[in-house]
Amino acid sequence: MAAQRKTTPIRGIIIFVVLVIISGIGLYATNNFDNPLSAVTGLFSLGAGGGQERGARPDGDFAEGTRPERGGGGDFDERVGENGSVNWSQFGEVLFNVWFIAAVTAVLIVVQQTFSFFTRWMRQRSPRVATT
Amino acid sequence: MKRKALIKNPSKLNLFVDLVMALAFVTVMELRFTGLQIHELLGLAIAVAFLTHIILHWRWVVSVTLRFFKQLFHESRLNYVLNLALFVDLFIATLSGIVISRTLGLDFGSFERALPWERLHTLTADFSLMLVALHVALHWKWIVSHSKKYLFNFHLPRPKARNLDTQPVPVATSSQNVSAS
Repeated sequence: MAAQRKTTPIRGIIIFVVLVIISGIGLYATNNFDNPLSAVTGLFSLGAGGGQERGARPDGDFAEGTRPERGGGGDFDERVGENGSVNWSQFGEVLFNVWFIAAVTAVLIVVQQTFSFFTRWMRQRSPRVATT
Repeated sequence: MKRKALIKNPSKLNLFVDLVMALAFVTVMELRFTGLQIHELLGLAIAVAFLTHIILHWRWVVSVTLRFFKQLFHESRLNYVLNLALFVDLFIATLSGIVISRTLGLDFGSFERALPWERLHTLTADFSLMLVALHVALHWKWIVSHSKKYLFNFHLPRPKARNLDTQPVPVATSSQNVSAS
């Protein structure tokens, strides 16, 4: 019986990558695309007191000590969304998070597959040592 | 019955816990979507689910911790470092979230002013998205195989092993008989 070769789901990978690209374009077109790397720059500038946050966080707009008190309601609650209810107009932001996770996965899969392809190719090209 | 089946099958339980956690995570990341109250409650629920996730993978944590400085497969080492970073990040995000909470009815007094908790919470939360994305990406094969098995298993069940007994026994050919004799 012939040994079964481990196959990589290339078709599935291509479909996944194409879907990620299309949905990324869709999110960009609907203005739901933030730069996720801004969080990293913000992390490094934390010590300097600066820092740019991903997206415009409503709680980030408040200066030190001006954040409303607990249960105070008012402007803060209006910007954040009503307590206990979901603001569906912001659903695109949730989709962006899902897309970001999928995009990182797609990049890793492509890098992994390319690397393994070249590794196999190099192995096939290298001359085999003759065994006597 | 179903609960017993899940306990007997930890992979299935892992998949469902992870799926719920992932959905809750991408939702809780958007404060403007959930509103403050849901954000804080969901954040606490994620912290509990996160601990469950660690308990379910405790054997892996212990074995890799014990072998970390010895020879270890590189992917496990990368996983370990990433998971440790994710653990620290989510711990800070949860702690700072509890300290700055507005709807949970907790008061931390001077402790709340000791550190820039709000900025720390926002940054660790944003950073956690990257770490979670990498965590998911590194486990894509596991996710695909288990999703196929437990979520998208539309194939008809295979014939049971006992059915094989009724299959005709292959008859040895003449050449095999010669070699055998």
